[in-house]
Amino acid sequence: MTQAPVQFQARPLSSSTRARRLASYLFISPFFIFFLVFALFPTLFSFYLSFQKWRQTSGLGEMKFSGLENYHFTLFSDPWFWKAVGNTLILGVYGLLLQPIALVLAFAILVGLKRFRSLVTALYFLPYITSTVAVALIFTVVYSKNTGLLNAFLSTLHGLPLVGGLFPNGGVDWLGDPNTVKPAIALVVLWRYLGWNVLLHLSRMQAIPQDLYDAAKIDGASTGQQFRFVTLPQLMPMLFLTVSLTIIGQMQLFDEPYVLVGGEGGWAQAGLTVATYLYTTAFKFGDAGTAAAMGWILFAGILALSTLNNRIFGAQGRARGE
Amino acid sequence: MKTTRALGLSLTLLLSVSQAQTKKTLTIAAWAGNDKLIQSVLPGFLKTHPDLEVKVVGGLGYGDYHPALNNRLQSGNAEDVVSLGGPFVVGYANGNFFEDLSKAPYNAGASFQRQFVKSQVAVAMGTRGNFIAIPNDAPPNVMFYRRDVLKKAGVTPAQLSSSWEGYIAAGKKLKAQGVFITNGAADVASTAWTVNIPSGEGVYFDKDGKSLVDNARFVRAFTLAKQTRDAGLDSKIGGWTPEWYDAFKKGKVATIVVGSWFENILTDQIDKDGASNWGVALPPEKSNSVGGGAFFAIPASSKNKAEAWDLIRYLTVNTKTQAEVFKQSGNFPANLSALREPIFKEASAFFGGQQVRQTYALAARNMSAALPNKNYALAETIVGDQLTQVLEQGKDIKTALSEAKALIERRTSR
Repeated sequence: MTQAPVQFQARPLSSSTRARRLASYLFISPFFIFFLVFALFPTLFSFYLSFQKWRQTSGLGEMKFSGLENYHFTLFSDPWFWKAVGNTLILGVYGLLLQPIALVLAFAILVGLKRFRSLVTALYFLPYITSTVAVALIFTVVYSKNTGLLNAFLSTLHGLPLVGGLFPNGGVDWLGDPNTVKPAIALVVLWRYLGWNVLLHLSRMQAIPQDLYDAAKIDGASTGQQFRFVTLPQLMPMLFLTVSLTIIGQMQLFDEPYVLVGGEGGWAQAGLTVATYLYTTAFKFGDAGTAAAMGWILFAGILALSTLNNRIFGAQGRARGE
Repeated sequence: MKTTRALGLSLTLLLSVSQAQTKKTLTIAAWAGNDKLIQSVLPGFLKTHPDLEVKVVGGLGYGDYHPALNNRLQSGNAEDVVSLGGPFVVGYANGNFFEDLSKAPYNAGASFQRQFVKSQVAVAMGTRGNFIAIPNDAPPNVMFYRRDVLKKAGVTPAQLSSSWEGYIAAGKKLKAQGVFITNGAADVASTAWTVNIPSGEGVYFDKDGKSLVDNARFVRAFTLAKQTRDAGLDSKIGGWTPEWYDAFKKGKVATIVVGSWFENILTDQIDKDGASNWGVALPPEKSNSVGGGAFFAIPASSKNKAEAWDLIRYLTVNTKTQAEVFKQSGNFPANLSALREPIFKEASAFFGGQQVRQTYALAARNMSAALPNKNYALAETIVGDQLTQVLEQGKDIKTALSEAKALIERRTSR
């Protein structure tokens, strides 16, 4: 016997349900209000601004539509922009060198430390939570040409017999010489983010089941081989994450270069990154439209690199992560 | 119920009465440091204006103050009086954010403006003759020199001040004693290219806004810098680094051409016990100082413009206020009449009994007006970069300057 289809009658919600739903929206609204005002609106406004010619000090009424002129100028007529792009990419490569160091260190902590594991990880993590400006200011003193710690240390090494010749006798102008500025900045960035990457990798490594290692040991694998054939493949999803974060972070690098060499990148703009150049264009030269266009060009660049990263690591990461 | 109603009614009555008795509040915005200065000189103003209350809105450092102020100006929420740093005034001079003080009811016309340092007045003048801000302090460029070092080398301050060629010749004598005359050859150039700017011309731009950085003035400045560097007369120490301070303290560098505010840094940080080691002279060929200092302006959005104008005049025209501010901070008054106050005739023990403030006053009167331009910061950066290439990489001066001109034109003609 077929049954008559059940008829659902639309009923108005009871006031208690309505009140509950309203309360839910109210509870999540603070975040959304903040997001709308401080994240979404500025993003949309900067996109709008990138097509205008505007000096902030002249007032909102002075905005003139200029089409793609800001983009055209930045991409084709501005030598400093491409210098900044080159610097940022070079710093990005230095940043990627962080990954192998972090991996090896995390594995060493995993294998070598049991009792002190948390303490050592926390110590490595400390630079990450220290104020960037404070860090960069201290490093300005460390990198000082005549009175800096680094040069003093190198002088001492220079005095060693046999290997002394490998080291310069102090007096290196780390932040002044265009050849040494980028390694100097990269060192500060590396020091800062090493702990963060170690923590991420270590947490993933600790989740790798011990049986895989046991099986490898039975097959006669040394520690190094265990790292290569057990740990690394299992780490692919985490590596995908850390490389993505590194790329995005390095492309937007601002704090360290700004405090170490200033908004104009020092000598020959050797320390000028896209982010610091953007800041200088907006607030020193007063050219808000071009700065906004630069920001969106940077976004396009980061998007392209992230997509590339996704292609390389993404598929593998997803496959292994299951 | 009855008690609540009674309470509510009496409270409302009380509030309305108190409203009638509250004074008018005048707000003035300033950056950290200046906010305390203004606060300290307010009592004199409040005595003559008992119906006013003045609130100083401060706390932000100089670097953060201006972007924050810009936001308030855009939204029409700025204070009644705002401080403006020299480099920022130019950007506002042709806009509509501030009152034109040359018009009624302020009437700060040509005769009023004459009491202030010419270069500062020029900075606050827009192209249509509007005068948007009153100069408050204006650091003149002076030359601080080490007496003991100069004496040992047989160099007199007059030789340094007379001409740039004389400065370099003295530098060679100092080098023979193992002392550098300056920390950076670049500073020689950036001071020298502010010399003898004809009226109607700016530092980097002419009156039509075209850049003139390849003219004779810049060629001379670059050549002087190159001579300084080639003869090894500069120490090449980066400015404001620990070594830089140390070089002055140990007498390894003999002179520095900088704003008069450097006196406080000398006495507090560099050479606390170095009394009589230092002296002050005029910079070579009376070079200008352009673009520094502080101003006060009235935003168009202010609701208390008359009172705001009174406060500004109290701070800038009243010579006693200017002298008091100088006494506390070393901020050199932009008001030339204030230079007659007794404090400026005091001899300075630190400078071996020299009446240094008279030297500052003389330097201030020498500052001529250079036409301001909103792309000043951009031109300064580009020319500075080319100068670095000339000094460090041996680039040809004429090539560097024509490249600078091309780069500036490209950016400013958009």
